[in-house]
Amino acid sequence: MSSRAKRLLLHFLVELLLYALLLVVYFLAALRYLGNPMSQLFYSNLWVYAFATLFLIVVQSVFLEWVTSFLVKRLGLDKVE
Amino acid sequence: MEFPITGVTINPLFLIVIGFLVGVLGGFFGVGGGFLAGPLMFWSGVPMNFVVGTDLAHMTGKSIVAAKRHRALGHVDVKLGMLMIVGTVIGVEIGARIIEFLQKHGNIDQVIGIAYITILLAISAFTAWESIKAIRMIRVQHLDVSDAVAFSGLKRRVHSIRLRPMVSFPDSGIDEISLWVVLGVGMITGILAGALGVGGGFIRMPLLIYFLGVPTHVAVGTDLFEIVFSAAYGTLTHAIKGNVDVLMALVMQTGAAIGAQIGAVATRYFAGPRIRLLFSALPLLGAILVIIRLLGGAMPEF
Repeated sequence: MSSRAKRLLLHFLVELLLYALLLVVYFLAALRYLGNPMSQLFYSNLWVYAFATLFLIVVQSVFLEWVTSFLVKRLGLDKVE
Repeated sequence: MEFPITGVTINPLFLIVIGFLVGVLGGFFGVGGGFLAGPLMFWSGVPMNFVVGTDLAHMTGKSIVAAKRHRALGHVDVKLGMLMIVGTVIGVEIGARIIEFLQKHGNIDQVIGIAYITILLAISAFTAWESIKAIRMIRVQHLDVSDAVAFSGLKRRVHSIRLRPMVSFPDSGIDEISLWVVLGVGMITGILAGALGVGGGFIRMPLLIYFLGVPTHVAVGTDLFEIVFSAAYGTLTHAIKGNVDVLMALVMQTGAAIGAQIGAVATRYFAGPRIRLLFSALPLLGAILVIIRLLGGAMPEF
């Protein structure tokens, strides 16, 4: 494996680790704080529940990826590419 | 752990693993992965109505992550993706109406099942044959390319259609092609997806490559881009009907998002024909799952 490929792999692994940590934190927070409200919403108003579901899914994807990219930039890991 | 919306007790780790596996497949091959996640969720005890809806919800998030990553790698043709969506939406409606019509005239489960298996086996066999030929071609001719297609007959015929308006897709290396062809290909995918009750990723990907001549890496990214919209629409409609457990979807997405990143980045290290050769195993797996169901196994319909 070339040194460039090694650096890319390292960059990717670090980014992945950060991303995984953020996801675990989010996952625990989601279950802790969203469980009851979302469950109540499900039984009271399915329209609001549907849009809230899509919102949460999109936010989880976009925001966490954005935070990871930000951290990677702050750590200077983006420069290896 | 008990999920309050479905009332089902499942180990969240199992859901994360399902999400991860489907995420890797999705990121690498540009498919939604419903054909694999669905049966696994059903086997783990999730009620049938929640299987499809929840799967679509986590698919939306996973596809956003994978499509974003592919876009950063230059593998998404947004213009092509948007136009394909238009054709696909029309096709899905036509496909759903065909099924509705056929259902009124008798039990069509077996007919659909057999048609599904035939299409999946044909895609699998053709993609495997073509990719092996392309790999040999690159080796024998010592080509220094990341992608090559050994079967260009369909592409040539499709590109020779001069029905105006003509459009170009620079991101896919397509100088000129009839808009109607693009919409038509999207519609064919939509009809098959609507009639067979699947997302259609494994039908769309080969069509993009062999019909339109899109490079494999761009086909994967563009397919994922389209899945973002189709899965988001599916999530909304299913959630309104009470078929989505958002907590389960968030847990699955934890694994899927990581898997999707790995899958998407891994495409950088594989040439187009190798991706297609590995891809050919997916429709085969899908066909086997349908055969098991038709033979009486406890499999839900997807």
